[in-house]
Amino acid sequence: MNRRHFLARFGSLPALTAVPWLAACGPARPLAVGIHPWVGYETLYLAREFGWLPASVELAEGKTLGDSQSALKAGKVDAACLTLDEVLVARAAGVPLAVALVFDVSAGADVVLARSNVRSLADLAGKRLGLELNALGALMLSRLLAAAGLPATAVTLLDLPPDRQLEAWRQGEVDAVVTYEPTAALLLREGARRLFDSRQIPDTIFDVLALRTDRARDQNAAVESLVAGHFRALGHLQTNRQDAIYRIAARQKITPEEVQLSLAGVVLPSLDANRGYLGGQDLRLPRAAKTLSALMVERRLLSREDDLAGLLSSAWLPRDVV
Amino acid sequence: MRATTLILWLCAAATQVWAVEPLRLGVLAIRPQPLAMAQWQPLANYLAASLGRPVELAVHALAELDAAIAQNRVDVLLTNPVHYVRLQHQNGLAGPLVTLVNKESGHELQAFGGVIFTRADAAAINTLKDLVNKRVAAIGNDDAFGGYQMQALEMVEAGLAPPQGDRLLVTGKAHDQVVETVLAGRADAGFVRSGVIEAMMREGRLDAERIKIINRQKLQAFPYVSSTRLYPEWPLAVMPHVNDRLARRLTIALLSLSTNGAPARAGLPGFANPASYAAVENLMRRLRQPPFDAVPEFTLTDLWAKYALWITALVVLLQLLALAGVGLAWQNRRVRQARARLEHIAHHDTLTTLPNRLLLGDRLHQAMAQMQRRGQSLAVVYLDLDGFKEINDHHGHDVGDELLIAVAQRLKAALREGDSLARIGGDEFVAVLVDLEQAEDCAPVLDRLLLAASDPVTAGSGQVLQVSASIGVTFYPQDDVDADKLMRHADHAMYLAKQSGRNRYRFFDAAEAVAAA
Repeated sequence: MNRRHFLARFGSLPALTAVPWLAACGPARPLAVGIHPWVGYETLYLAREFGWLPASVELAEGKTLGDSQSALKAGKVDAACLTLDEVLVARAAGVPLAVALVFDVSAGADVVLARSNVRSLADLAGKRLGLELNALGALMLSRLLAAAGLPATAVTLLDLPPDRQLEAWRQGEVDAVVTYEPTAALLLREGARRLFDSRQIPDTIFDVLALRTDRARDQNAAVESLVAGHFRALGHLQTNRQDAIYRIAARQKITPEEVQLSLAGVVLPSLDANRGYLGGQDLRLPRAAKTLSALMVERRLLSREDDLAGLLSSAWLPRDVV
Repeated sequence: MRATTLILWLCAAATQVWAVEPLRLGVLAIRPQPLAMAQWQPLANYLAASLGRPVELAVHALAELDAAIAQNRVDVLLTNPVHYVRLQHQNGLAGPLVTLVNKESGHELQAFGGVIFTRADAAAINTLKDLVNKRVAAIGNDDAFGGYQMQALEMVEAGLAPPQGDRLLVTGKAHDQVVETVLAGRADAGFVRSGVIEAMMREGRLDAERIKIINRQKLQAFPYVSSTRLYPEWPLAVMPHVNDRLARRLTIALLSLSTNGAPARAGLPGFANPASYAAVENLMRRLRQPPFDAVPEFTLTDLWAKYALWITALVVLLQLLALAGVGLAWQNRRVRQARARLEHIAHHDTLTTLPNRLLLGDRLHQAMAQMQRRGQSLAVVYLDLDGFKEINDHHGHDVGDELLIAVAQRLKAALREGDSLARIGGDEFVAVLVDLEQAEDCAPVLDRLLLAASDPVTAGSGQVLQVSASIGVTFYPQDDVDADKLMRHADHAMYLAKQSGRNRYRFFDAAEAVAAA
């Protein structure tokens, strides 16, 4: 609890003691959820558009993954849509996070794009590579270099988050970028070629809803509605695909065909699959977390491995089919 | 059309030696018959050529199409999604072979939506909510998917009742008529299929400035304005009796339309691999369209599954209430018993348990009223024990009390049924004898009372005690005074009896009393 919240709660003490049963359900602050453009999070925008998110949920939109991460660390949001590796980074920084939902598993939508003169992975040697300098970027880079058989020193790295990549690409500042949808679709339009993507590293990049457990206690209902809203929108995406695609296209300002393509790059786990991932029956997620943790220590993105205690929770998943 | 079929059939017969049954293509008509025939005839021709057999086209309104299907006069069906889902559930229609691709305006669309519009100058209508209680024009309701049901679902999802009955103006077959109806002011708003507005504008029949779109969806890449979510275009399916081989050849022919340059031939539609119609089914369930119009059977198990917590809470609450009720009844009983005890104490003499003066007063009043009604008499008998004070002084109160109890029981036993006896003081008793026809009737009772009082009593300690009684009697209504006076008159007579030697009774005599006074 930060100072401001402590004071706010302290200030309201007399009122609460006067009406003790209201203390538990007092005027709830909305649940702020950090979110940034990524095809896997589109379900939340769909849910908002159809009015399936309650007023107690507020989407705090940033431009990049880094925005969500810093909002989380600064305590401005109670939850955020993050990649699993970023969850580990935040936990290492002392933010008590738990994964409440798996939005998607990247299977092609995280991608390394290069100019047409880079014909193979080996051609990357000596080239300028733009990427967001975070855990996900490092992860993609390490897997890329391993696949290319190149040492880390073989490429020149530029700090270039996806929201600045299109401009840098047009200015000729980079030869290749580590990126993800929907930016990838825009770069492909500019003639970029697909060199490497998350299909080569299956079950590694998980996009999840991470929740501050120290704040979730007051906001269980909002979190449950948020998660239920996601699954309802996922149902819409599956049963009324055309409608969903046009809506996503309008929001991301890409064509319906590009939406189809970027959706093809992610696996969207159902409620049952989520129960498996978060309930401990499906070990792919805990294993991915363990592998990531070790890799990140190796790459000095983490000072020590995460013990993964309390990382995954199926407590906020709906009990019934949405 | 018949001529075309004949020619096609002749061509087919010429190329294939055996005669083949024509393939019957049934299409739902949403435009006037001649227009619809013209629209779909190129497709029928194309299929005849591709399959090498005649194809007979029939366009029908919904009811006619259903009738044709019932008579097995349709092999291949092209209809709107809602009709298709209904047939799927009713006729066991298989999944669609392909989904129509709408190529009307240079776009290839596999989805369509519904539009809600009003006149641009209708200042009071801006959102879905404003449509409530307004008159809405549409081409139909139950058979119009993009022309009514899609819009109805948006309203239902927003918690509003879709227009029905008087509030729905059904214009008939063409969507254009809906637009004209609204522009002419015969309806406040209109529902049409997506694309209609743009087509009318293109043809110069509608000025964009004159209408306003309600609940516009953010679907920039979709070339038409839509007020609803989009749904997949019309499905094409074969009826269950069509064999698999033909269905496969049909699918190939239809999908080839999009790729082999055939679209160059005028008026041919395109087809894509089949879409999922789950969203359409969901809409029908939500709007309770047939066959989903039956209210689902709600069993006790469902009830339990859904409301287990509430039911449990209710049962516990009822049990608590029942428990509280039982507790209350028990308390109530105790209070009533205590009250009865108190009342008994208030109206009875504690030593002999005989009624006391208070209760006697009540009974006397009642008896007086009763005697008056029946025309009978009662006697008030005032009885005082002779020599009781001496026994009390000599043997003590305990023995005196014993004597009183024994005498009281005997006196009571000496009375008739209906008579009552009260103890009104230390050794004074009053009896009320009722139902007397004449004064002499009470003589035997009075004799028995004298005997009862004078019969010796053996006390607990062994002493034999004996008293006697002096009795004064007065009669009502012969002595026509109130209850208090009757008692005093009887008392007075008793006094005279005691004076004249005890162990006897005297009747009250008014004249004598006056004389004495």
